Amino acid sequence: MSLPGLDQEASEQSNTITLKPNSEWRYEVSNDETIKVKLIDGFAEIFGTEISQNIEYTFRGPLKSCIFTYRGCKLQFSGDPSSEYVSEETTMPIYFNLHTLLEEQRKYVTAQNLSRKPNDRLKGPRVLIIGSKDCGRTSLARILVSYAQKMDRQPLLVSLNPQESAFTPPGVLTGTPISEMLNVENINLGETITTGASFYHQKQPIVKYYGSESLEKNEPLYKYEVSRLGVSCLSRLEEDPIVGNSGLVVDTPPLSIKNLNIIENIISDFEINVLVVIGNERLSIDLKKKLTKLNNPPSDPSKKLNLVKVAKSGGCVEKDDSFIRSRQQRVIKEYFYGFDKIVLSPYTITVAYNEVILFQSTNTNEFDQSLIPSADSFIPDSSNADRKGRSTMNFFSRFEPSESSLQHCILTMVNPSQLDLQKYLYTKDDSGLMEDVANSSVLGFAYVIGADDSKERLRILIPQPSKQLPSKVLILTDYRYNE
Amino acid sequence: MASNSIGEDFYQSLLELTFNSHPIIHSLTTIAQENMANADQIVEAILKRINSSAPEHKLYTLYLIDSICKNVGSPYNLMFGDSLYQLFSRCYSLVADPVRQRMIHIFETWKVTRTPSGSPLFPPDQLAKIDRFLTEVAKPKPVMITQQSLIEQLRQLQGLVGQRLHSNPNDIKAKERLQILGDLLKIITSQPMSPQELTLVNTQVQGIRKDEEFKLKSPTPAAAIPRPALSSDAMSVLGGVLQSVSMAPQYQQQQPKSPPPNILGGNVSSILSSLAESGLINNINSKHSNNLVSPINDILSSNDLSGSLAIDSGYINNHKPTQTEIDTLYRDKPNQCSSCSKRFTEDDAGRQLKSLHLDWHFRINKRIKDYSNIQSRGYYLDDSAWVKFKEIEIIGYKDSDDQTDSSNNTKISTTGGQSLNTRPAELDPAELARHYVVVPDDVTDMTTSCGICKEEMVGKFNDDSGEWVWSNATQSGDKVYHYSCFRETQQERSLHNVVEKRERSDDSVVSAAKRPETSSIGSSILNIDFSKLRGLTDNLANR
Repeated sequence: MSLPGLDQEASEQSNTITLKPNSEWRYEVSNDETIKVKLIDGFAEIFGTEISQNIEYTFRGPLKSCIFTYRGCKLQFSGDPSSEYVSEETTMPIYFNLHTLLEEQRKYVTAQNLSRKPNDRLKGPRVLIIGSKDCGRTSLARILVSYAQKMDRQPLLVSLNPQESAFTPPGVLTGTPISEMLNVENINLGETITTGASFYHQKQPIVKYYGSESLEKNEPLYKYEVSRLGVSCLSRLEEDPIVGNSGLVVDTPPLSIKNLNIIENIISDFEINVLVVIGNERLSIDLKKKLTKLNNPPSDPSKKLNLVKVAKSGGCVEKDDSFIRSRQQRVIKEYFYGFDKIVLSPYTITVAYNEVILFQSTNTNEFDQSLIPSADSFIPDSSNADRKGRSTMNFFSRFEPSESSLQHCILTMVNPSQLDLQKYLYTKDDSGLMEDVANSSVLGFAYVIGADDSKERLRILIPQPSKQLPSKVLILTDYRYNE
Repeated sequence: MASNSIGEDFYQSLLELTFNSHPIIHSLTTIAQENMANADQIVEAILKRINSSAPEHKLYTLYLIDSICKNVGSPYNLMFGDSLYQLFSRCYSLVADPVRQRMIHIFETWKVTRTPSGSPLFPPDQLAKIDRFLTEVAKPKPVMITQQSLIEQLRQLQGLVGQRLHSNPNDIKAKERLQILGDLLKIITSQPMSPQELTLVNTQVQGIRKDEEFKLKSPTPAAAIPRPALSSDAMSVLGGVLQSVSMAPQYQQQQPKSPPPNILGGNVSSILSSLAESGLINNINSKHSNNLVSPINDILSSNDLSGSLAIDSGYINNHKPTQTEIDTLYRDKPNQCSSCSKRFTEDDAGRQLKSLHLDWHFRINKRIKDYSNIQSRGYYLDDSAWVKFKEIEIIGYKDSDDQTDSSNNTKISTTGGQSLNTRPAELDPAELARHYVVVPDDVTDMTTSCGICKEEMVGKFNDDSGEWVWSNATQSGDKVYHYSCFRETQQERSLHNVVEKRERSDDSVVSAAKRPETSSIGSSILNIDFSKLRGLTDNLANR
């Protein structure tokens, strides 16, 4: 006998999950599928961001995520996740302990800084997370900044992984103060500033161009932009006492011991004092042997580097190529158009070929490596302008617009406030301009809807309505987008 | 400020002294110096604090006494001097061993410090008494712990807990404790133990014993029961008692804990760790043992830079986070926003932040409804603008319109931006100064309140006009308003009142955070009310 209402109740029952303390619900959602999840009872969090019992959360794929609870909780979900299960194996207590020690450093630094002059302040912990592919680096970075934010800190989340740039479309390196909670419904941590309002506080990142997701393609440029980002992030830590006491957390692309040089550069560029290696015994042992900073500890204890190895979560799953591509497409789309809860209006502008200056990142694999200056010369040094000029010259090459080179490409716009185009108007030599381009940050992204070689015109999608292109100088990325 | 509140204010400030903070000690010393006339109140406040604070905080108050006596001297050194022995010995008996070492260190400096006039800092007879006391307690105590003596102790303890359970059969804690003691007894009677293990168990058993004895004396379980202070006549028997008070405080026992796992036939270390887990005893295997004191606080207070910045891999990978530690993420901020999951503390500051946060939700929700669909992605900042950008522009409970405007540099805002981005220009001080209202002759009170924000406006003498005025004010009808409030309302931006009010007020969190020298203090983070402290200093200086 079936009674009205019973069936429905039964189906709801089947979608209720009870989590024991220290367990997590892991779920995957396929591309463009959605599930809705509600916390019915208890406390739960998604990579350090607490979820509320008063919100029904909508998660749109492609997504591989989990909901963790320290004390046990009851969840209810609807929709059709491609995979879901409960696991009682968790690495969260380890990550929590790491947070506890970092927070102790912050407390210590905050107390010390009370009696220090502004130019003599200590910085909060500078954490670098490294590990091989799909070991949960971004998740750990999220957890650490979210917990710190819960302690009323404002740490910088630095993302050096151009494949999954934080808060922005891919292809760039970002640094973002986490002054309010992340948006767990957003596929890419949260929203950057818009001209309107959004339910969560928006984020204000600094964005640096890299253009590709292969570090080998233009390693000198990668190192250079990392160092430029480092300069800005450390300046922010010095400029802003709250951010300064909170420190920063650096997320990275998959790195191995053969990237030792990159790792050492990041350590010095961000004054790293806590190096976290996730689940890779070999890497942590190799680093212990080879990192010069570990083996020759600096005299100043606040600059000493600590290496800590933490376990990889059993919930880490391989992200295959199609997952990564569909995620990137989603993030690009949301950059221009927003998503369900924040609809954005981009703007299509038509410009003549001769109105834009286009650069692309050079493929240094094709160059004689001996021409590329060593890392030392990338340290900005005005007294060494000639050498620096030459070093940045190899980063980019200029190219002329054409349908074949630009159709459906994603470009970054170079921030015009850091360029003085007048200066380069009457010179054929692009080296000065390229140096400025290498030193500037990204203003925003642009998408080439179409290029018409016969009319020599480009149709470009830009984020905001505008009479003219906000920056004449654009750099090509490896990313394409199909509307 | 009325002088009778100085002692109270001083005491309130003392409550912040829960870590070795040189700046706080320095400020408090300055206050003591500037306020010698009320020395009796200050001394009273300090004595009250040192007697009532948790043992691990006593040292810092002692440091303060040290600082005041050495830097200010008379009358403080005389006033503390008379009861110095009592003060010192009492503290000494209640604190843990590392702290005792520091106390001895301070005492050594007292013996050699002279006042500017050349006389000893403290009365020689008091110092001699402390010296004798320290020699006495330093004598090694013949303690032979055997398995048999432990078993006896445990049986006695079972009796004590049983007694307590009998008087209050619903005491789950007591039941748990009885259960664990039983398990422990089973293990000790069934297998041999190394002397090291015996010592460890003994220390914990002594701790439980002390706690039980105390609980039997005071039937009502309080949230945090201070250790019973030893009366001065009990000092003679201190030697014997010392052993039992030497362990870390047992406050944890009063906190709610998850029931311990059922232990059957485990070995000693598993029992010990289960004891640790249940919070019944401290985790004896780890140096990060005390739930109350965060793991490296001890090192912090020693001012050892390298120690405090050390990251202990073993701790990270093996420590099991306690409920108290996890509470820092959840229960320490019980006041949760009903719209999102943000949490706030259950105090005035937390409530104020929450109400601002709710205002923010309200405005944002209204704006989301008002201008649905007409928003665009903002441009990213350049390096120098980003370095100078303050997050307060985002989290400072302003509209996101405002952020976009203030964040975009001029070059960009000319290219992008929409009409709804327009925001009234900031009121500059010169413009504010041009707007004032003369205080009417017929009023008896120089204060009035703004008709919009209700904030009190105090009359000031305007040198230029030679009249008493309310500055930043305008009059409409018979009501006086802040000019800035009035202007805003006219621009139909009344929802911004809270923000502007906060911006205007010098004491507000927002403007405090904008001033680098204040925000560097990070007062909210440390829970130190520096504005109060500063206010106190100012007030004292003006007296």
